[in-house]
Amino acid sequence: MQTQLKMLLLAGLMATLTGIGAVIRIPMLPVPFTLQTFFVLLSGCFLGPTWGAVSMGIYLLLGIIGLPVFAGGSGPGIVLTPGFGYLIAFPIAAYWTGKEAGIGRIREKSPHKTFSIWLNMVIASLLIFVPGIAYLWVLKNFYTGGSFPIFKAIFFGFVIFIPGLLIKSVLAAVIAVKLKDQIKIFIYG
Amino acid sequence: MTIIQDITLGQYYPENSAIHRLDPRSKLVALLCMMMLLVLTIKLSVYLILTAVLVLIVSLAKLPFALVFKNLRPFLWLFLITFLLNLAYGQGKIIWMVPVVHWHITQEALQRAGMYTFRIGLMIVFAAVFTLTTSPMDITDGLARLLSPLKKLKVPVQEFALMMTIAIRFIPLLLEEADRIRKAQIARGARFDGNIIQRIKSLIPLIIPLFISAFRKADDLALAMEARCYKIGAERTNFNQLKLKIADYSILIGMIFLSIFSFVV
Repeated sequence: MQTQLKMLLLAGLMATLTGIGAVIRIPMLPVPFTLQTFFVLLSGCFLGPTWGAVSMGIYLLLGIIGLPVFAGGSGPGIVLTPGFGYLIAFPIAAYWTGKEAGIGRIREKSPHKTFSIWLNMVIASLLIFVPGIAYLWVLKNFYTGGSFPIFKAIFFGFVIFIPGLLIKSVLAAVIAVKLKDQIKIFIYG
Repeated sequence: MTIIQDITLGQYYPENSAIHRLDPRSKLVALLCMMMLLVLTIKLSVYLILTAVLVLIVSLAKLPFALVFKNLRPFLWLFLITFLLNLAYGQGKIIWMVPVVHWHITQEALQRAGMYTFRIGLMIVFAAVFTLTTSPMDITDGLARLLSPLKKLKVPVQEFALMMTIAIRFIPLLLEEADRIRKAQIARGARFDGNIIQRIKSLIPLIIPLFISAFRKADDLALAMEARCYKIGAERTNFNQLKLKIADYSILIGMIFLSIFSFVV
């Protein structure tokens, strides 16, 4: 069967799952825990760099045309909100995970491999925060006339998310290793 | 986690009106045109006309005004900040001196603050009216058709549209599936409460079956599409043909007149 067709369908489904991940929310301090970025990491891991990025692009489009797939409201107006920077970075994060911790690279179940996958997922999550903080900072400054300091943007846009980031990347790495055989069977028959 | 009814409709407000029946392509072009006008011109006359157009569209579309303006609520802080920021800077005739902080509020600044806030408000409402009157499937169709010239540049527009359609179609299915898996796991004695670590751990028996189910669905779909000779990159036809009608042409001509008027006035 065509591998490309399966990848295309999986890319669509990963976009859907990311949207569902935004709905699954566990109240936690300091910020609620959602599975959005967890699925971002896994879509890169399962689909590889290109298809992972495509899948996240589809996810962004879904939210922009008004489907409730984002955690904080959706529709074209979302572009004007400070949180949009994180969303733009999803394809980049999926690309990184696909390139460095893709399913093709997981050969055997060794603790060392799981650790390197986890490490790359952490790097990919950090990549989400770079445009995220920048957009938050620029937009807040744009609206307030330059009185929003960068350290505040880093604190509210990054530091409070660190516990969630670590938990999600561990969860993603564990599930990636658990599901690798299923995915390989699915994609390559 | 609850199952949201009719989640595939997104913000869409189903109604049988002239605006809902318009071709998604002409609505998209009209929306882009309005946005351009709002970005490029900053004249009160143009904005008032656009407001009149907006009121006309909303009443033609039989949308409740309260629903339309509800879309502005998440942006209230944005309006406030834009207004105050623009108010704070400006030269000209001082109309009010704020005591204590020595803010000069000038007439120009007040006008500009009003106009910029008005502009953002109009943009958001126009975008909201578009998503309220066009279903996600229609938007996808319209986008794919509008962008189809990109196929010449080897951009797989059709495949993108297919992925969008699949994703839209699968949102309610997978949400329902997730709920079913949750109930099934509870029936097997799984617990979804406790402290944070336990709760996060309890997600694993939810996520893994969800993935497996998604893969299985994709597998079935791939098989079904294969059996119907689906081929990536092949020329395809649509079951629902989009066709521009008189109303669409009149909208487009109206937009041209509106643009000319905005730049001339």
